[in-house]
Amino acid sequence: MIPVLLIFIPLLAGLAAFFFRNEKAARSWALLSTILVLGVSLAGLTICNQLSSLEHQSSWMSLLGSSFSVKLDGMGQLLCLLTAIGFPVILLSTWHTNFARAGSFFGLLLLSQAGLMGVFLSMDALLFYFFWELALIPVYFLCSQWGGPRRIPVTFKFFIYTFIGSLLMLIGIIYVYSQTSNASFAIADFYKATLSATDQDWLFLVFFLAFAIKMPIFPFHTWQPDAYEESPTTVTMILSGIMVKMGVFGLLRWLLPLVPYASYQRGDNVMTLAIAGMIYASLIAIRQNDLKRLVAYSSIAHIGLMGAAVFSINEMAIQGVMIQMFSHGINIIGMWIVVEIIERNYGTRKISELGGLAQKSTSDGDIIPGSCFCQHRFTTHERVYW
Amino acid sequence: MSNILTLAYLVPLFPLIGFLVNGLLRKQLNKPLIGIIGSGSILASFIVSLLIFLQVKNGASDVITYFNFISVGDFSIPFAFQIDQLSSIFLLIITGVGFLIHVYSTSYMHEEKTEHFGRYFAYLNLFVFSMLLLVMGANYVIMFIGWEGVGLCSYLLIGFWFKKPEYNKAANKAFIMNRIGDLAFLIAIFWIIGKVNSVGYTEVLAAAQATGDAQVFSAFDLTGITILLFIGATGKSAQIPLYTWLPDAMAGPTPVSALIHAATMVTAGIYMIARSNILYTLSPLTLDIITWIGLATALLAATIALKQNDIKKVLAYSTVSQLGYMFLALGTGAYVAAVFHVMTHAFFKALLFLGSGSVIHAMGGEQDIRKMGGLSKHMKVTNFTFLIGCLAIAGIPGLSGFFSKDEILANAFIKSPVIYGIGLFTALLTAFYMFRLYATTFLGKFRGTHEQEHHLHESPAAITIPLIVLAVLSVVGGYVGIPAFIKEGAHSLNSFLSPVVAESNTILGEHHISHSTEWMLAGISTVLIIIVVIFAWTKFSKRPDTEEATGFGKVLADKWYVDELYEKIIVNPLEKLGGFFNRVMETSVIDGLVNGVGRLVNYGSRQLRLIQSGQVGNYVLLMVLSMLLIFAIQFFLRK
Repeated sequence: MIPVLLIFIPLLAGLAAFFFRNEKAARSWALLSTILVLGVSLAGLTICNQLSSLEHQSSWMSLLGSSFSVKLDGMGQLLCLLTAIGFPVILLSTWHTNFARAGSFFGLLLLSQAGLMGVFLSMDALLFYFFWELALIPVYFLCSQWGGPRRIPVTFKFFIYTFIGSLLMLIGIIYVYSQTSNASFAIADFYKATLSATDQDWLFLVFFLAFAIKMPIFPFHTWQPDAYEESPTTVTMILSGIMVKMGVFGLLRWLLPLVPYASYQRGDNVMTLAIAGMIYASLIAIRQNDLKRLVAYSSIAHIGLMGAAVFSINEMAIQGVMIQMFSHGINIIGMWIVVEIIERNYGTRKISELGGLAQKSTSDGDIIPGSCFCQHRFTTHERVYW
Repeated sequence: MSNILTLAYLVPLFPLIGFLVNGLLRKQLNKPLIGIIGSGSILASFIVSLLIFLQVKNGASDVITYFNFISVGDFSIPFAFQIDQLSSIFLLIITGVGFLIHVYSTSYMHEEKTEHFGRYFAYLNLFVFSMLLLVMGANYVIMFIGWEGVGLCSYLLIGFWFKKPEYNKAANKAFIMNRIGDLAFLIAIFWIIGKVNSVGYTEVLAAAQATGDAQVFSAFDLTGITILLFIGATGKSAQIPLYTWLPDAMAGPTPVSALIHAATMVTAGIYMIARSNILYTLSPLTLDIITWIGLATALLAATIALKQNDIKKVLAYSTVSQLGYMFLALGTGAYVAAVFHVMTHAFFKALLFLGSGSVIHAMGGEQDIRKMGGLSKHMKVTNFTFLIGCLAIAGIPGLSGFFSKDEILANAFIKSPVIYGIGLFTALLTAFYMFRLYATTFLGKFRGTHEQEHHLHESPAAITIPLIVLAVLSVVGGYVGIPAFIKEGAHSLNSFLSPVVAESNTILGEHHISHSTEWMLAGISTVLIIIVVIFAWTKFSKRPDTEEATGFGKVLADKWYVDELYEKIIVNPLEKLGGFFNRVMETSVIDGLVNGVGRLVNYGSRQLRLIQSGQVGNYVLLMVLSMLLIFAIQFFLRK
């Protein structure tokens, strides 16, 4: 029951939100829904944590061998919790930002939450793909409708980029489906599918590209700083705090178990790429003058770390990735809140125009080093990948 | 009496509570209350530490596990404290000196706004908490948490007066240089995990000694791990090549310099090596490297200190130099001597820093010794205690510095007379610059403005009492380590710490030099030091060195241009590379490729579009041609 609620509360609330004309009401409605989701998610962790309430299966497209199969397992739990915590925090922190057509804005926001939950809960490849897209499309509209001045080309690039990834993944999913013994999309059957080494090889590339673009791993990252910069901060928080975790999660849940041989073979290459990207992005981050771009590049570096850790294929490292996905989500949302406060109070994000903030408002002054430090801390802490 | 060791968690808990209360309620509380909470929490820790120390002195030592901190598969890191001889001594130093400095701060920081006053004490308590975690942890990970925590507090306190951009720069510099060392420390921890699958001191140190079939570490592993740990130590303890942050760290309030950058945090590296002494004993190459780095740092920093005119900068370079001495001791395998010097140095250097704070306070913020002079008439207590500090650091017999420094030099002599010679020369430089500092500041005529002279006053009791206590400790602190050549078996520190270094001593063997040689060495150094002290005293009390340095003196005054060198060979190239990536790689190369793909598709589509002309004739022609082509292919290929 819990996973169904996690998906359908934001989905239905999101659809309903489109009909709100009053901004305040739409905002409160969205907050109410996200708090409800948080409650359900916490309940799933504590009082309703017996297996029966964490699993649900009903027929969906039975002719195709796909079912609506969702399950809140250990790996999903952490990320569902992150999504559940992230959304109300994001809504509250941008409470005073005004949006035109608020009903649609918050509706889309909630739809993307439903998509995210679905991605983390799906136990069926087709369902996973469906939610993957459901999470992506609202964000596309959010950026292109409510973004900054360069929003159209930026969103277009973002869309094309991630959509190519999605399509490649769809091809991969269909191929694996054709190789399953009983023509099923269920994750268990996918894991059991017999794939030759050459099959694994190209399937690896296809899936990896999809996830690498989403994460993003160097050199597939150029959509990201632009998208972060141009999106409204609310959307940037969702993109960087939660949505990029879809990519890492995809690696862990789908790529590694599906094509273990190829992952093992190509792991070193990916690690090299990821680590090169970390250094590359960090060096660029040093040179950024815009706070948003600075955080964006630092985020690429952190994601690179997670990518490298995943492909070290080591239990300790993968646990570290799980924890870091969560902590990175929390930290980076914190960073964006700081950026948002600074921009709202001082009207600029240029570091060269800022300075001495800590003396003007002490509360800001404490948060910035605070969240910078947290980010620093967790990164180094989880570097246990060998 | 119940086992007090189980109460060890109280020691870091009090400062943590102090931090939370002062940090969260800093706007509600008033200054006296903040001061009482801040100092009181450390006093409480000190009392518990004292009880623990007494228990340990009776032979108790234990590893107390509280809970499982990290657990992955078959690997787990417990949250555990190791209470033994080594950590209990550090506990006393940290909480004892820490308490005095907290008391001192209540007066020194009194002019800050209440809110900042609270922030200051919150940071200071957090620092003590982290430092306690560092020395109490029973494994490298807990140590690392404390290690990072003290780094953070150091950053926050150096940049405490964040209104000045150069102070923030100094804070960043300290933090970043420390991070370089921390990275090496982390890699060493991973290396250890890879080999032992545990990070507990007990397990790792036992594994290091296993031989034959049970051997865990190869010689290469040991050398690699110890060198990496040592690089970590060079960051935190300001040794070549990562020492340049410490002098800049003087931007922080003076009590902070006394606590963090003289008495406690910078000795973390020495603690780490003393803690893992077996690893080091088993890798002679690393010991040699440590010896030479320590010696080079001691000498380099001492030469720079000769020409500094900022009272705190002189003390900062002196700290770097003394830390070099401690590493020299570690390198010669004299772990006890290093800890001994940590202790005596904590007393007299904290005293000197607090004394300089008292001077700066009286001078209304002035730190340039060229504008001081003749202060002894106005500040009796500060003058007297500062003099004791200078005598102690110079190594005048009877004061604490003499005993620890003499022990280090004697061990250096055993290793090689050359090392001893350089060490002695550095000791003479130390005596020289300390008395240059003393004479220029306290003797001669006052060289500041009239207004300043009018305001000169002795500091209040909250400042002078810690000075007096530290001065007493600087005198008597050495008597825990009376060398064997004076009285056999009177080195109580040696016997106290012997369980910690027992295995190392067995491996290194006892290299004793005869008592007559020791008398001679001590005699030579004492005579030379006294000559230098008298020379510096007379030279600078009459004609203080107030001109700008020229020639070689300028090279020293400009710190051998090491900062400029780092700027040129590391900072600038990295900045340039980042700029290149940002401007060229991102926009032209990667995005160029990405957009190129888009343009290619666009171009292709435009060409294809031309075929769609809308003229039926063309379509028919194409259709016929295609059909012919298909027939042709069918015809030839089927054959």
